Amino acid sequence: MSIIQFFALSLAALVAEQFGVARRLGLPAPLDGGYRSALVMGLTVTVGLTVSMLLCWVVFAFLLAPFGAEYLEEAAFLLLGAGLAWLSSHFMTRFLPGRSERLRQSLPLSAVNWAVLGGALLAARSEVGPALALRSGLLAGMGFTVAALVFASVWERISYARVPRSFSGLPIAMAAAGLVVLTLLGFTGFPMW
Amino acid sequence: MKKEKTEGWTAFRQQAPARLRALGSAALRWLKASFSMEPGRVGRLFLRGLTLRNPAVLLLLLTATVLPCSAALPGGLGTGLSMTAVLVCTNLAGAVLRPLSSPALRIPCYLIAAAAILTAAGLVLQACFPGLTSCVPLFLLPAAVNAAMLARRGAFSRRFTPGYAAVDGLAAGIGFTIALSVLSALRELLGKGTIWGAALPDELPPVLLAAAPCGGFLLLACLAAMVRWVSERLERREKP
Repeated sequence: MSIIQFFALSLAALVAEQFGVARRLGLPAPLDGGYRSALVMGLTVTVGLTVSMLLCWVVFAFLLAPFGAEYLEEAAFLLLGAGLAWLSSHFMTRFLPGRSERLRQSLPLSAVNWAVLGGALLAARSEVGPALALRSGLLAGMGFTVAALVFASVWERISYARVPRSFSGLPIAMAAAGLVVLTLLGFTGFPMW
Repeated sequence: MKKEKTEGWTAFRQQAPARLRALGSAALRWLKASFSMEPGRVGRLFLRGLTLRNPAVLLLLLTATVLPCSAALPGGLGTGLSMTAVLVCTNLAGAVLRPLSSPALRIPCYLIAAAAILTAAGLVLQACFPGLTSCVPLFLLPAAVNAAMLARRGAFSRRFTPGYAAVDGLAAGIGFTIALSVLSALRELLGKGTIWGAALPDELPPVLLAAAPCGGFLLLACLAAMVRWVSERLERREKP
Protein backbone atom coordinates (compact mmCIF):
# COMPACT_ATOMS: atom_id res chain seq x y z
CA MET A 1 0.00 0.00 0.00
CA SER A 2 1.48 3.30 -1.08
CA ILE A 3 1.71 6.62 0.73
CA ILE A 4 -0.90 8.05 -1.58
CA GLN A 5 -3.36 5.39 -0.59
CA PHE A 6 -2.90 6.23 3.07
CA PHE A 7 -3.39 9.89 2.27
CA ALA A 8 -6.58 9.05 0.37
CA LEU A 9 -7.70 6.83 3.24
CA SER A 10 -7.33 9.67 5.74
CA LEU A 11 -9.22 12.04 3.46
CA ALA A 12 -11.99 9.45 3.06
CA ALA A 13 -12.28 9.10 6.83
CA LEU A 14 -12.38 12.88 7.29
CA VAL A 15 -15.09 13.42 4.66
CA ALA A 16 -17.23 10.57 5.99
CA GLU A 17 -16.90 11.90 9.53
CA GLN A 18 -17.80 15.40 8.41
CA PHE A 19 -21.02 14.28 6.73
CA GLY A 20 -22.20 11.19 8.56
CA VAL A 21 -20.54 10.08 11.73
CA ALA A 22 -20.07 13.42 13.50
CA ARG A 23 -23.66 14.54 13.10
CA ARG A 24 -25.00 11.17 14.14
CA LEU A 25 -22.85 11.20 17.27
CA GLY A 26 -23.77 14.79 18.06
CA LEU A 27 -20.16 15.96 17.92
CA PRO A 28 -18.75 19.05 16.20
CA ALA A 29 -17.73 18.23 12.62
CA PRO A 30 -13.94 17.90 12.27
CA LEU A 31 -13.50 20.28 9.34
CA ASP A 32 -15.70 23.13 10.50
CA GLY A 33 -13.35 24.35 13.22
CA GLY A 34 -10.57 25.33 10.81
CA TYR A 35 -6.88 24.64 11.31
CA ARG A 36 -7.04 24.45 15.08
CA SER A 37 -9.48 21.59 15.34
CA ALA A 38 -7.82 19.83 12.40
CA LEU A 39 -4.51 20.08 14.25
CA VAL A 40 -6.03 18.79 17.50
CA MET A 41 -7.59 15.90 15.63
CA GLY A 42 -4.32 15.13 13.85
CA LEU A 43 -2.33 15.16 17.09
CA THR A 44 -4.78 12.86 18.88
CA VAL A 45 -4.68 10.51 15.94
CA THR A 46 -0.85 10.54 15.86
CA VAL A 47 -0.42 9.90 19.59
CA GLY A 48 -3.20 7.33 19.78
CA LEU A 49 -2.14 5.46 16.66
CA THR A 50 1.49 5.27 17.79
CA VAL A 51 0.60 4.06 21.27
CA SER A 52 -1.95 1.54 20.07
CA MET A 53 0.37 0.17 17.37
CA LEU A 54 3.10 -0.28 20.00
CA LEU A 55 0.69 -1.94 22.43
CA CYS A 56 -0.57 -4.11 19.61
CA TRP A 57 2.99 -5.22 18.88
CA VAL A 58 3.52 -6.02 22.59
CA VAL A 59 0.34 -8.08 22.71
CA PHE A 60 1.24 -9.76 19.44
CA ALA A 61 4.79 -10.66 20.43
CA PHE A 62 4.22 -11.75 24.01
CA LEU A 63 0.65 -13.04 24.04
CA LEU A 64 -0.54 -14.06 20.59
CA ALA A 65 2.58 -15.34 18.83
CA PRO A 66 3.67 -17.79 21.60
CA PHE A 67 0.24 -19.44 21.42
CA GLY A 68 0.08 -19.43 17.64
CA ALA A 69 -2.89 -17.08 17.55
CA GLU A 70 -1.50 -14.53 15.09
CA TYR A 71 -4.85 -14.22 13.35
CA LEU A 72 -6.30 -12.50 16.43
CA GLU A 73 -4.14 -9.44 15.85
CA GLU A 74 -6.80 -7.21 14.33
CA ALA A 75 -9.25 -8.08 17.09
CA ALA A 76 -6.56 -7.23 19.65
CA PHE A 77 -5.94 -3.94 17.87
CA LEU A 78 -9.64 -3.07 17.98
CA LEU A 79 -9.85 -3.82 21.71
CA LEU A 80 -6.63 -1.92 22.48
CA GLY A 81 -7.63 1.14 20.48
CA ALA A 82 -11.09 1.33 22.00
CA GLY A 83 -9.66 0.73 25.47
CA LEU A 84 -7.13 3.50 24.95
CA ALA A 85 -9.86 5.93 23.84
CA TRP A 86 -12.03 5.04 26.81
CA LEU A 87 -9.13 5.30 29.24
CA SER A 88 -7.95 8.69 28.00
CA SER A 89 -11.48 10.09 28.03
CA HIS A 90 -11.92 8.78 31.59
CA PHE A 91 -8.67 10.35 32.80
CA MET A 92 -9.47 13.62 31.10
CA THR A 93 -12.83 13.93 32.84
CA ARG A 94 -11.21 12.88 36.09
CA PHE A 95 -8.13 15.07 36.19
CA LEU A 96 -8.84 17.91 33.77
CA PRO A 97 -12.55 18.55 34.22
CA GLY A 98 -13.86 21.28 31.92
CA ARG A 99 -10.42 22.18 30.56
CA SER A 100 -9.89 19.91 27.61
CA GLU A 101 -13.39 19.78 26.20
CA ARG A 102 -12.32 20.02 22.57
CA LEU A 103 -9.74 17.29 22.99
CA ARG A 104 -12.23 15.02 24.71
CA GLN A 105 -14.86 15.61 22.07
CA SER A 106 -12.45 14.69 19.31
CA LEU A 107 -11.71 11.33 20.93
CA PRO A 108 -14.56 9.20 19.48
CA LEU A 109 -13.81 10.37 15.95
CA SER A 110 -10.09 9.81 16.55
CA ALA A 111 -10.85 6.27 17.63
CA VAL A 112 -12.66 5.71 14.34
CA ASN A 113 -9.61 7.11 12.53
CA TRP A 114 -7.32 4.75 14.45
CA ALA A 115 -9.46 1.89 13.23
CA VAL A 116 -9.26 3.08 9.60
CA LEU A 117 -5.51 3.72 9.53
CA GLY A 118 -4.46 0.94 11.91
CA GLY A 119 -6.42 -1.73 10.03
CA ALA A 120 -4.78 -0.66 6.78
CA LEU A 121 -1.33 -0.57 8.44
CA LEU A 122 -1.76 -4.04 9.90
CA ALA A 123 -2.94 -5.42 6.58
CA ALA A 124 -0.20 -3.73 4.54
CA ARG A 125 2.94 -4.47 6.52
CA SER A 126 5.14 -7.39 5.67
CA GLU A 127 7.30 -7.82 8.80
CA VAL A 128 6.80 -7.40 12.52
CA GLY A 129 8.92 -5.49 15.02
CA PRO A 130 8.78 -2.83 17.72
CA ALA A 131 10.69 -0.23 15.68
CA LEU A 132 8.48 -0.91 12.69
CA ALA A 133 5.29 -0.56 14.76
CA LEU A 134 6.52 2.71 16.27
CA ARG A 135 7.63 4.13 12.95
CA SER A 136 4.53 3.15 10.99
CA GLY A 137 2.14 4.44 13.66
CA LEU A 138 3.99 7.73 14.02
CA LEU A 139 4.35 8.33 10.30
CA ALA A 140 0.76 7.39 9.49
CA GLY A 141 -0.42 9.75 12.21
CA MET A 142 1.74 12.57 10.86
CA GLY A 143 0.41 11.88 7.37
CA PHE A 144 -3.10 12.09 8.73
CA THR A 145 -2.29 15.44 10.38
CA VAL A 146 -0.95 16.84 7.11
CA ALA A 147 -4.00 15.54 5.23
CA ALA A 148 -6.36 17.09 7.80
CA LEU A 149 -4.57 20.48 7.64
CA VAL A 150 -4.53 20.53 3.83
CA PHE A 151 -8.13 19.47 3.55
CA ALA A 152 -9.27 21.97 6.20
CA SER A 153 -7.92 24.80 4.08
CA VAL A 154 -9.46 23.33 0.93
CA TRP A 155 -12.78 23.05 2.73
CA GLU A 156 -12.52 26.66 3.90
CA ARG A 157 -12.05 27.77 0.31
CA ILE A 158 -15.05 25.68 -0.83
CA SER A 159 -17.26 27.32 1.77
CA TYR A 160 -16.78 30.65 -0.06
CA ALA A 161 -17.43 29.17 -3.50
CA ARG A 162 -20.73 28.94 -5.34
CA VAL A 163 -21.25 25.21 -5.71
CA PRO A 164 -23.97 23.80 -8.02
CA ARG A 165 -26.93 22.70 -5.94
CA SER A 166 -26.75 19.01 -6.70
CA PHE A 167 -23.02 19.05 -5.84
CA SER A 168 -23.26 20.97 -2.57
CA GLY A 169 -22.31 19.12 0.58
CA LEU A 170 -20.99 15.60 0.33
CA PRO A 171 -20.34 15.34 -3.46
CA ILE A 172 -18.18 18.46 -3.60
CA ALA A 173 -16.22 17.27 -0.57
CA MET A 174 -15.55 13.94 -2.29
CA ALA A 175 -14.56 15.68 -5.53
CA ALA A 176 -12.22 18.00 -3.60
CA ALA A 177 -10.65 15.03 -1.84
CA GLY A 178 -10.18 13.31 -5.20
CA LEU A 179 -8.48 16.39 -6.64
CA VAL A 180 -6.17 16.71 -3.61
CA VAL A 181 -5.12 13.08 -4.04
CA LEU A 182 -4.70 13.70 -7.78
CA THR A 183 -2.23 16.52 -7.10
CA LEU A 184 -0.17 14.16 -4.96
CA LEU A 185 -0.40 11.51 -7.65
CA GLY A 186 1.02 14.04 -10.10
CA PHE A 187 4.34 13.95 -8.25
CA THR A 188 4.74 10.28 -9.13
CA GLY A 189 4.64 10.99 -12.86
CA PHE A 190 1.19 9.48 -13.27
CA PRO A 191 -0.10 9.26 -16.87
CA MET A 192 -3.77 10.13 -16.94
CA TRP A 193 -4.73 8.63 -20.29
CA MET B 1 -23.90 -33.13 54.40
CA LYS B 2 -23.74 -35.88 51.88
CA LYS B 3 -27.40 -36.70 52.38
CA GLU B 4 -28.40 -33.09 51.78
CA LYS B 5 -26.38 -33.06 48.63
CA THR B 6 -28.06 -36.18 47.29
CA GLU B 7 -31.46 -34.80 48.25
CA GLY B 8 -30.67 -31.60 46.44
CA TRP B 9 -29.53 -33.60 43.45
CA THR B 10 -32.73 -35.67 43.38
CA ALA B 11 -34.80 -32.52 43.71
CA PHE B 12 -32.83 -30.98 40.91
CA ARG B 13 -33.33 -34.05 38.76
CA GLN B 14 -37.02 -34.05 39.47
CA GLN B 15 -37.37 -30.38 38.67
CA ALA B 16 -35.10 -30.48 35.66
CA PRO B 17 -37.68 -31.37 32.99
CA ALA B 18 -40.07 -28.66 34.18
CA ARG B 19 -37.23 -26.16 34.23
CA LEU B 20 -36.13 -27.18 30.76
CA ARG B 21 -39.67 -26.78 29.49
CA ALA B 22 -39.87 -23.36 31.14
CA LEU B 23 -36.56 -22.47 29.52
CA GLY B 24 -37.91 -23.50 26.15
CA SER B 25 -41.02 -21.36 26.48
CA ALA B 26 -38.96 -18.45 27.82
CA ALA B 27 -36.66 -18.73 24.83
CA LEU B 28 -39.68 -18.81 22.53
CA ARG B 29 -41.10 -15.73 24.26
CA TRP B 30 -37.75 -13.96 23.91
CA LEU B 31 -37.53 -14.87 20.25
CA LYS B 32 -41.07 -13.65 19.67
CA ALA B 33 -40.49 -10.40 21.53
CA SER B 34 -37.21 -9.65 19.83
CA PHE B 35 -38.07 -10.65 16.29
CA SER B 36 -41.68 -9.43 15.99
CA MET B 37 -41.60 -6.41 13.71
CA GLU B 38 -44.09 -4.01 12.22
CA PRO B 39 -43.84 -3.82 8.45
CA GLY B 40 -43.98 -0.03 8.30
CA ARG B 41 -40.89 0.41 10.43
CA VAL B 42 -39.07 -2.32 8.53
CA GLY B 43 -39.86 -0.47 5.30
CA ARG B 44 -38.54 2.78 6.74
CA LEU B 45 -35.35 1.07 7.90
CA PHE B 46 -34.88 -0.43 4.45
CA LEU B 47 -35.37 2.95 2.81
CA ARG B 48 -32.84 4.49 5.18
CA GLY B 49 -30.31 1.76 4.44
CA LEU B 50 -30.79 1.85 0.67
CA THR B 51 -30.34 5.62 0.52
CA LEU B 52 -27.06 5.22 2.46
CA ARG B 53 -28.16 7.37 5.39
CA ASN B 54 -26.32 5.14 7.83
CA PRO B 55 -23.10 6.91 8.94
CA ALA B 56 -21.12 3.68 9.21
CA VAL B 57 -21.99 2.85 5.60
CA LEU B 58 -20.86 6.24 4.37
CA LEU B 59 -17.52 5.71 6.08
CA LEU B 60 -17.28 2.19 4.64
CA LEU B 61 -18.11 3.34 1.12
CA LEU B 62 -15.56 6.15 1.12
CA THR B 63 -12.88 3.91 2.57
CA ALA B 64 -13.64 1.12 0.13
CA THR B 65 -13.21 3.44 -2.85
CA VAL B 66 -9.57 3.88 -1.83
CA LEU B 67 -8.74 0.22 -1.29
CA PRO B 68 -7.82 -1.89 -4.33
CA CYS B 69 -10.81 -4.20 -3.77
CA SER B 70 -13.17 -1.74 -5.48
CA ALA B 71 -11.17 -1.43 -8.69
CA ALA B 72 -13.06 -4.27 -10.44
CA LEU B 73 -16.62 -5.58 -10.34
CA PRO B 74 -16.01 -9.00 -8.69
CA GLY B 75 -14.04 -7.37 -5.88
CA GLY B 76 -16.69 -4.73 -5.29
CA LEU B 77 -19.54 -7.24 -5.23
CA GLY B 78 -17.66 -9.63 -2.94
CA THR B 79 -16.67 -6.85 -0.57
CA GLY B 80 -20.27 -5.67 -0.44
CA LEU B 81 -21.67 -9.12 0.28
CA SER B 82 -19.11 -9.99 2.97
CA MET B 83 -19.61 -6.57 4.54
CA THR B 84 -23.39 -7.19 4.61
CA ALA B 85 -22.82 -10.36 6.62
CA VAL B 86 -20.52 -8.52 9.04
CA LEU B 87 -22.95 -5.61 9.45
CA VAL B 88 -25.88 -7.95 10.19
CA CYS B 89 -23.83 -9.93 12.72
CA THR B 90 -22.38 -6.90 14.55
CA ASN B 91 -25.76 -5.16 14.76
CA LEU B 92 -27.37 -8.35 15.99
CA ALA B 93 -24.65 -8.84 18.60
CA GLY B 94 -25.10 -5.30 19.87
CA ALA B 95 -28.86 -5.63 20.17
CA VAL B 96 -28.74 -9.07 21.81
CA LEU B 97 -26.11 -7.95 24.33
CA ARG B 98 -28.00 -4.81 25.39
CA PRO B 99 -30.28 -6.38 28.02
CA LEU B 100 -27.68 -8.96 29.05
CA SER B 101 -24.83 -6.67 30.05
CA SER B 102 -24.66 -3.92 32.63
CA PRO B 103 -24.05 -0.38 31.32
CA ALA B 104 -20.43 -0.33 32.49
CA LEU B 105 -19.62 -3.54 30.66
CA ARG B 106 -21.66 -2.85 27.54
CA ILE B 107 -18.84 -1.45 25.40
CA PRO B 108 -16.24 -4.13 26.27
CA CYS B 109 -18.81 -6.90 25.73
CA TYR B 110 -19.84 -5.43 22.41
CA LEU B 111 -16.23 -4.95 21.32
CA ILE B 112 -15.28 -8.52 22.15
CA ALA B 113 -18.27 -9.85 20.21
CA ALA B 114 -17.45 -7.60 17.26
CA ALA B 115 -13.78 -8.61 17.36
CA ALA B 116 -14.78 -12.27 17.25
CA ILE B 117 -17.05 -11.59 14.28
CA LEU B 118 -14.44 -9.69 12.32
CA THR B 119 -11.79 -12.34 12.97
CA ALA B 120 -14.17 -15.03 11.77
CA ALA B 121 -15.07 -13.03 8.68
CA GLY B 122 -11.42 -12.39 7.87
CA LEU B 123 -10.56 -16.08 8.22
CA VAL B 124 -13.49 -17.13 6.02
CA LEU B 125 -12.43 -14.67 3.35
CA GLN B 126 -8.83 -15.89 3.49
CA ALA B 127 -9.93 -19.50 3.17
CA CYS B 128 -12.62 -19.21 0.50
CA PHE B 129 -11.98 -15.99 -1.44
CA PRO B 130 -8.27 -15.16 -1.24
CA GLY B 131 -8.67 -12.46 -3.87
CA LEU B 132 -10.76 -10.38 -1.49
CA THR B 133 -8.29 -10.12 1.39
CA SER B 134 -7.57 -6.47 0.62
CA CYS B 135 -10.98 -5.58 2.09
CA VAL B 136 -10.23 -7.14 5.49
CA PRO B 137 -9.26 -3.79 7.14
CA LEU B 138 -12.79 -2.61 6.36
CA PHE B 139 -14.23 -5.08 8.85
CA LEU B 140 -12.89 -3.03 11.76
CA LEU B 141 -14.99 -0.01 10.88
CA PRO B 142 -18.60 -0.87 11.77
CA ALA B 143 -17.41 -2.09 15.16
CA ALA B 144 -15.48 1.13 15.76
CA VAL B 145 -18.36 3.37 14.70
CA ASN B 146 -20.89 1.43 16.73
CA ALA B 147 -18.61 1.49 19.78
CA ALA B 148 -18.20 5.26 19.44
CA MET B 149 -21.97 5.53 19.24
CA LEU B 150 -22.37 3.33 22.30
CA ALA B 151 -19.86 5.46 24.21
CA ARG B 152 -21.74 8.59 23.24
CA ARG B 153 -25.30 7.41 23.83
CA GLY B 154 -24.83 4.80 26.55
CA ALA B 155 -26.73 2.06 24.71
CA PHE B 156 -28.56 1.10 21.60
CA SER B 157 -32.14 2.30 21.72
CA ARG B 158 -34.57 0.13 23.66
CA ARG B 159 -36.85 0.04 20.64
CA PHE B 160 -33.99 -1.31 18.53
CA THR B 161 -34.72 -5.00 19.17
CA PRO B 162 -32.56 -7.72 17.55
CA GLY B 163 -35.02 -8.08 14.68
CA TYR B 164 -34.84 -4.41 13.77
CA ALA B 165 -31.08 -4.41 14.28
CA ALA B 166 -30.68 -7.28 11.81
CA VAL B 167 -32.98 -5.58 9.30
CA ASP B 168 -31.03 -2.35 9.69
CA GLY B 169 -27.73 -4.12 9.08
CA LEU B 170 -29.17 -6.00 6.09
CA ALA B 171 -30.59 -2.84 4.51
CA ALA B 172 -27.37 -0.91 5.07
CA GLY B 173 -25.37 -3.80 3.64
CA ILE B 174 -27.57 -4.04 0.54
CA GLY B 175 -27.30 -0.30 -0.05
CA PHE B 176 -23.53 -0.53 0.37
CA THR B 177 -23.33 -3.52 -1.99
CA ILE B 178 -25.32 -1.79 -4.72
CA ALA B 179 -23.35 1.45 -4.46
CA LEU B 180 -19.98 -0.30 -4.39
CA SER B 181 -20.92 -2.63 -7.29
CA VAL B 182 -21.97 0.29 -9.48
CA LEU B 183 -18.81 2.18 -8.59
CA SER B 184 -16.49 -0.76 -9.18
CA ALA B 185 -18.20 -1.67 -12.46
CA LEU B 186 -17.71 1.90 -13.68
CA ARG B 187 -14.10 1.91 -12.53
CA GLU B 188 -13.40 -1.39 -14.24
CA LEU B 189 -15.14 -0.29 -17.44
CA LEU B 190 -13.29 3.03 -17.60
CA GLY B 191 -9.97 1.92 -16.18
CA LYS B 192 -9.47 -1.42 -17.90
CA GLY B 193 -12.15 -1.53 -20.58
CA THR B 194 -13.60 -4.81 -19.27
CA ILE B 195 -16.66 -5.94 -17.31
CA TRP B 196 -16.21 -8.85 -14.90
CA GLY B 197 -12.89 -9.60 -16.61
CA ALA B 198 -14.49 -9.95 -20.05
CA ALA B 199 -13.33 -7.54 -22.73
CA LEU B 200 -15.89 -5.47 -24.57
CA PRO B 201 -16.29 -6.13 -28.33
CA ASP B 202 -14.95 -2.77 -29.46
CA GLU B 203 -11.80 -1.63 -27.73
CA LEU B 204 -12.16 1.33 -25.36
CA PRO B 205 -9.12 3.45 -24.56
CA PRO B 206 -8.45 2.86 -20.85
CA VAL B 207 -8.63 5.92 -18.59
CA LEU B 208 -5.96 5.26 -15.98
CA LEU B 209 -7.38 7.98 -13.76
CA ALA B 210 -10.42 5.82 -13.00
CA ALA B 211 -8.26 2.98 -11.74
CA ALA B 212 -6.24 5.23 -9.39
CA PRO B 213 -7.52 5.85 -5.84
CA CYS B 214 -8.57 9.42 -6.65
CA GLY B 215 -10.68 8.25 -9.58
CA GLY B 216 -12.96 6.46 -7.15
CA PHE B 217 -13.57 9.68 -5.27
CA LEU B 218 -14.32 11.65 -8.42
CA LEU B 219 -16.66 8.98 -9.82
CA LEU B 220 -18.45 8.68 -6.48
CA ALA B 221 -18.90 12.46 -6.32
CA CYS B 222 -20.36 12.49 -9.84
CA LEU B 223 -22.65 9.55 -9.02
CA ALA B 224 -23.90 11.17 -5.80
CA ALA B 225 -24.54 14.47 -7.58
CA MET B 226 -26.37 12.65 -10.38
CA VAL B 227 -28.56 10.74 -7.94
CA ARG B 228 -29.40 13.97 -6.14
CA TRP B 229 -30.17 15.81 -9.39
CA VAL B 230 -32.48 13.04 -10.62
CA SER B 231 -34.31 12.78 -7.31
CA GLU B 232 -34.80 16.56 -7.16
CA ARG B 233 -36.14 16.49 -10.71
CA LEU B 234 -38.59 13.71 -9.81
CA GLU B 235 -39.76 15.57 -6.71
CA ARG B 236 -40.32 18.77 -8.68
CA ARG B 237 -42.34 16.87 -11.26
CA GLU B 238 -44.53 15.29 -8.61
CA LYS B 239 -45.30 18.50 -6.72
CA PRO B 240 -47.25 20.80 -9.09
